[in-house]
Amino acid sequence: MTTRSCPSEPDLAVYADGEWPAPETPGFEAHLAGCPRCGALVKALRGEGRLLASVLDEARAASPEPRSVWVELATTGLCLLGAAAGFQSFFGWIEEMARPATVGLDAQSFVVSLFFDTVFYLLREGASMLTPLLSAAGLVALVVLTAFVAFSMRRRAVASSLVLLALVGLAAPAQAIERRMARGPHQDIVVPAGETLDDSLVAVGETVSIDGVVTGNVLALGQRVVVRGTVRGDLVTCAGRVDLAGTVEGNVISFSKTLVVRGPVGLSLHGAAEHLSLDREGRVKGDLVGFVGGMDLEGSVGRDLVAFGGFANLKGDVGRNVASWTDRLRVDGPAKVGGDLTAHVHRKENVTIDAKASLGGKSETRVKTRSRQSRYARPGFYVWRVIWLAAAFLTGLLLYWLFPALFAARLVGGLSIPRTLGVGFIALVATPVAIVIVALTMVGLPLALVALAVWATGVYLSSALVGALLGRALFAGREGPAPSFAIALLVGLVIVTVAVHLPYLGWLLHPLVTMLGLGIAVIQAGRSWKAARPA
Amino acid sequence: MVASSGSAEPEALSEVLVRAERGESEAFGELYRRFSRRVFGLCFHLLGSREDAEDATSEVFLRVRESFGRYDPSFAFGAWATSIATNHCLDRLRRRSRESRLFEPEPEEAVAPGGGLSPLAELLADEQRATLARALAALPERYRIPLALRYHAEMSYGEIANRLGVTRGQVGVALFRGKERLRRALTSGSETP
Repeated sequence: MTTRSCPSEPDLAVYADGEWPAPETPGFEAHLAGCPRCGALVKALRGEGRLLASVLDEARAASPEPRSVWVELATTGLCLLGAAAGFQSFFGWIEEMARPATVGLDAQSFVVSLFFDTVFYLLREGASMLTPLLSAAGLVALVVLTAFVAFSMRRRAVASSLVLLALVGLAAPAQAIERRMARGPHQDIVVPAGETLDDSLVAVGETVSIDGVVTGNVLALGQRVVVRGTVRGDLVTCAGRVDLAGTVEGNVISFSKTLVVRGPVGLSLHGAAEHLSLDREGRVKGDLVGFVGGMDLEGSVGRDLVAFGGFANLKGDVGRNVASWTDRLRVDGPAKVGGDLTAHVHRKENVTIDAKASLGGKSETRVKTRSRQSRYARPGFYVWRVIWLAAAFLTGLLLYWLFPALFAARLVGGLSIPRTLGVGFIALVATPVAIVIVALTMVGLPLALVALAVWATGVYLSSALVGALLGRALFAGREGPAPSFAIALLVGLVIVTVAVHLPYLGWLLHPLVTMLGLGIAVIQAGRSWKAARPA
Repeated sequence: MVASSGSAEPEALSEVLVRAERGESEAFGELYRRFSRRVFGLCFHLLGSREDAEDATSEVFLRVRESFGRYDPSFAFGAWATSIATNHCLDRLRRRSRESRLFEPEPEEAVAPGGGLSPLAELLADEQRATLARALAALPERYRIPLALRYHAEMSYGEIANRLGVTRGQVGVALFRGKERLRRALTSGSETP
């Protein structure tokens, strides 16, 4: 018998897996027959293979099954329910705003006035302090949001790309956007006639005048914004009075006490104003959507006209349909409407259509009667509240399951209410400003969309967070074992829901709840971010 | 009883496959119900993340539906679906690492003859099995993927080598190294409770 050394363990492993090349197999088997050590090793290796197969199989069983159709359906249903509740509240709010039958037009005008006056007082008095505030608040909100999104995703690749995107978004204005800020309280910002600004422009001043050409987008904040020149991109403005005598080739989004359009707008105009007028020379090629105290239209709208608010007087042309949710609608002689005209009013006599006005489609007046009734007397109100409560409860549970750290805050000790409210206020107010600014930079748009989604989700989830906090605080003072999270959440949510719908007081409590909830979310997310970071 | 249920099952599957060939949506739903766990398990072991595995499973069944015309009924359907899943997951991993080669294979001769630790016993206590499962999930891709393809998808060395673009010898080395790491993880895991 020749001396044969034993095969190596890797070779034996290949053989045990049944992968040893066939021609060499007989020799191998002969050795194994005569070598008890190798025979035992092959046996053990085969056992190890079976062990691995069974553990791999078990790990598969332990890992959750792919979501079943029912879970998918339930999730979709939940989202739809939440969205429906959200929309219902939104339209309820709009209806509330535009409900002169109970509040009276004067009272409504007063509220709108008060609102605009407050905003513009802040703008007027604070133009100089607005600049650092905007940058600081925007920066903080952006960083917090980015961190929060990144943390929730818990994926390093996504997180780092988001942070990168945020950095690019922050850095981009330095190169792509011209910033012109007032240095004193009464300084004006002017793009003189003849100057062509080959950038986007962010301008803050007492008066912002654009007499030259801006090739990019414009964000203008001030007491008065006047465009006599040309804006090639979009114009976003927040001002006491906005005069658009020049040309805006993109969209106009305006938030002002008075908005006057005397020139052409290349795309659509979306305006919130106490008074909006589209003069005879004013032309909006796309849609005009106005949330207004009053609206006078003598110029032309290329596509649809949609108006919400106090009154609308129409003398000009509308290419397609007119839909109005204003208290009064008046269509005068020379007016031309290419499509249908639908008016939603409280009294039929509030709609006046001159016989000389020409209508391409049909005209319809829908009289809303139910608004005369108090919302508390409508059964639908309670049904929607219950649906909203159920959606918020389920969402809260889901959130607790996904991110328990968000619910770690306690009312008794550990949570400073003023601080949380402060953080919540910044998150609630500064975030949309930051989003608008970021959206103006080209690369910032995706980030702005993500931030907007996160912000909206945060606002929606804030009541669940406050509900949980409140419910737990209530049970904390009680003797005996603490109840489960679900019960505390449900009790807390019921309290929150009732509180924010109390007559009058609810208007004050609702924003407080939202701010508190957002503050908790931001602070807790920050804490767990810190805790999760490797030292 | 056993024989009847054993013979009824493949019969029913072939019927499902015939219906699927006619393009019936329900048949694809049935195939999903029967094979999604297996496909999901493979995707989970290959990709190493639950979310990715869920996405991959949906995409694999979408591909199954799209390319059902190319399915040869003389092969087992499970193996065909597994092979689609493997291709899909490996594509994903390649895209993730942005390299054409999935992993840098080790030289074949790098294996020391005779590992220091003896093979794991086939029967392990539950606790040890759990440790082993964790160690498997924590293995680097270069070892985890060949192990999953070999012992979960039951592929031959040749098939694995083909998919990964390496030699059969390198597959053997990766499997051996992977198992060695698992042995080490289990011994150190039991030493430090």
